[in-house]
Amino acid sequence: MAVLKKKKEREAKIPDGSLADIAFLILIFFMVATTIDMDKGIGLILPPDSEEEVKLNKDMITNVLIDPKGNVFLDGETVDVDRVRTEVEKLLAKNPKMIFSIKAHESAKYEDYISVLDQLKMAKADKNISIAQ
Amino acid sequence: MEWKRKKESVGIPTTAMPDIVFMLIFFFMVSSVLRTAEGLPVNLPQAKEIKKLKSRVDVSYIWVNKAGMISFDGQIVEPENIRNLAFVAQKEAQGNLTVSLRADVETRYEVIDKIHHELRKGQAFKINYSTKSAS
Repeated sequence: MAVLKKKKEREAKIPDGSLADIAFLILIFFMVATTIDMDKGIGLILPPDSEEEVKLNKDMITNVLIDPKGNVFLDGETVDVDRVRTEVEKLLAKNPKMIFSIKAHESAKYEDYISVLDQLKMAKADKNISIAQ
Repeated sequence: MEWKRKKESVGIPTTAMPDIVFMLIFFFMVSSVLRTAEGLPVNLPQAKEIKKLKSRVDVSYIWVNKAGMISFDGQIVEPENIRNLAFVAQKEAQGNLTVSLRADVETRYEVIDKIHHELRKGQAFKINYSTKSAS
């Protein structure tokens, strides 16, 4: 009678040699899929919604008007958009508390409004911007 | 008498490499915020004096296209509804809400003014006009 051979025990191991490769693959996927570019833009704090109006002296305010064609007026005088910064800097040097009230025509373009806001920001007039309703 | 020197192995130990890689994976998985709500096709204006938004958390996105159509966090809304949505979002953000306004260059100021007004009514004061950086 033949003796049954004892079965060889099979080795049961999960091959882990390529684990690092797989992990790298996933890592690279997430690195590529993650969008690092943050949103950029011009920040502004809107005034709180209160009924009472703050009365200000007239010579504390400079009206910045924008017409539908994109022309900018600083206190009634037409100013080139790129020159707004220098003009505002001059006014701020005279009176650091000067308020710049932006009033745009209802059919003025958003683009022009942003350029004016950008110019005011460049002139470091952040705290002095007011948006007329 | 001669001493036999044992040869030292000079390989970099790589057994811990998968652990390190997995750690990096988890970092990227946790830190990446997948955008769920998309808005309208817009052509953003350019500006020079721009700031980066600190995070994507506590940010509501308002999209406005050329025609004046408004989308609030991926949902098309009427201008009058912004105040309620903004108020709810502000509450959820515990007062730290930033509204990112992504409006088209051609948008009429009338619409922007209306949004300003609504946001003020909805207690959302912090606004960021999304722009491209001018080169």
